[in-house]
Amino acid sequence: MTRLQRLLEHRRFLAVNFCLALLIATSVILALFAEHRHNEQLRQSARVQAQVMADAVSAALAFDDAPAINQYVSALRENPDISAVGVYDEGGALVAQYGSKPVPSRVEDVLRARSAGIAVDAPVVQAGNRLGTVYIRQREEPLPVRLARYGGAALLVVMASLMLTVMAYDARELRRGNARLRTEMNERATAEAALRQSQKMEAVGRLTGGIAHDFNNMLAVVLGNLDLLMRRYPDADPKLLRFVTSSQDAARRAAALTQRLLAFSRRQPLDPKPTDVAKSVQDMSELIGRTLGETIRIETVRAAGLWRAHVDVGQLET
Amino acid sequence: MKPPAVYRLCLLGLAALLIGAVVAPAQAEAPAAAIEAAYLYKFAPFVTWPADSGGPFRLCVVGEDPFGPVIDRVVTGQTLGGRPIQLVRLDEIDRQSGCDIAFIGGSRRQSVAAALREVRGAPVLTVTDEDDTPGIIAFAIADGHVRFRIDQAQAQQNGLSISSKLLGLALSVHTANGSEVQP
Repeated sequence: MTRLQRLLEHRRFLAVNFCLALLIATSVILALFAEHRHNEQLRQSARVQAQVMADAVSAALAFDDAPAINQYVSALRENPDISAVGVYDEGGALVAQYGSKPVPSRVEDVLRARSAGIAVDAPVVQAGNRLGTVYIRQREEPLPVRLARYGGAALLVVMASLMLTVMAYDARELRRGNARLRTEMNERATAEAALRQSQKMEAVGRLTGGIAHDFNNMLAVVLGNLDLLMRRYPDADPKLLRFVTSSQDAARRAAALTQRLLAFSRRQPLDPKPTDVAKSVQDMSELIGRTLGETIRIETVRAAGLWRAHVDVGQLET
Repeated sequence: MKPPAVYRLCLLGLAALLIGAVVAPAQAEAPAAAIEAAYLYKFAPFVTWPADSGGPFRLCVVGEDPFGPVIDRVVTGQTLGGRPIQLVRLDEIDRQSGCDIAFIGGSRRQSVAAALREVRGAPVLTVTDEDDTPGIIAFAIADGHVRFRIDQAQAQQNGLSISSKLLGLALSVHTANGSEVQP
């Protein structure tokens, strides 16, 4: 992933805001530029009008033909873009004018106010001789017209901004959804691992059950033979018989153990019986004590006079 | 003591009235002459001479001078396309006078018509008064304003071309083919 992509990934909102700011700034600059261009064109057209006017009135101005000058000035009334016209003679005095607002009475004022508004002046020159000045003021465009000119562009900018914002929100939602999905995937993977583990345990249990079953059968053979030995030779050497008795004990205990294994692996049906729980605990503690060895002491605390409980002894002991 | 003072005041007032009565018509005459004097050199930008003679622009007043010192004042400090204006007063004009514009007032030694004949074909813009034989440009008074008539035929003879702007302002234009046009 490139640096830019990383940046976009982490600073998406910043990037969107930056783009929005850029978009708006660019459109404002473009609008200002267009406005400037438009004003420049207006001024240029006024300048052309003034030049034409200056050229036309030169003779009338030189020979003080006021009616002729007024005729030229009146002709410009037809142009709705022009709000005022003034014609000044060689000495700078106003000769002819028209306009809603009065034009300056002296040409010096016109030249001083040259930069203000869309007003232009043109010298009246004939064969290199300055004969006077023509002043033309362009009508300012009304605000609604100006706004209407930029309305379309402004609408586009607003729509684009809106789209960018919506897209940014969508992207954020997408990222959140993605994160949620990833979390879910992780949880599912954990659950699957746990399931596998439990399946493994189940297999182990089943195996244990199978082994315990076979083992039980073998133990039955061993116990049977030991019983037969005791019955057939009841008066054998007592030392020998003690060996046999201890073997029988061990075999019985092994049988009990297999019973528990079977119960653990659910191979054996539950066999609930009224049971003295205290006695069962006593038996178990003996068994556990032998299993754990002599380094660990086991202490049991049993309540006296407990009722019998209806449980499967094997299940309780495991 | 008192009567002489009153008399003196009355005399002064009478004198003032008299002077006013005498001077007033002269002043009424003066603006037309002054305007004509100013117009004389103002024609120049609207006229094209066949060749630029170089040096100062010569403005001649031939014969009787109706302008007096007014024209000196008007012309002083003026230039035409960078050329200074030189005012020359002549009794008679001929082709060698070197005038660019000549106001021909006429005199006993050289009538207006004779002067016009003299400079026919020379690059001189001839200007005359209303009542005399008309030159290329002849002053005229219309509605109390100083205006002029233009004779294009004479202008063509003298090799001058006159701007249509000037022709547009004339009371009438005598065209080269002899017809009279009112712009």
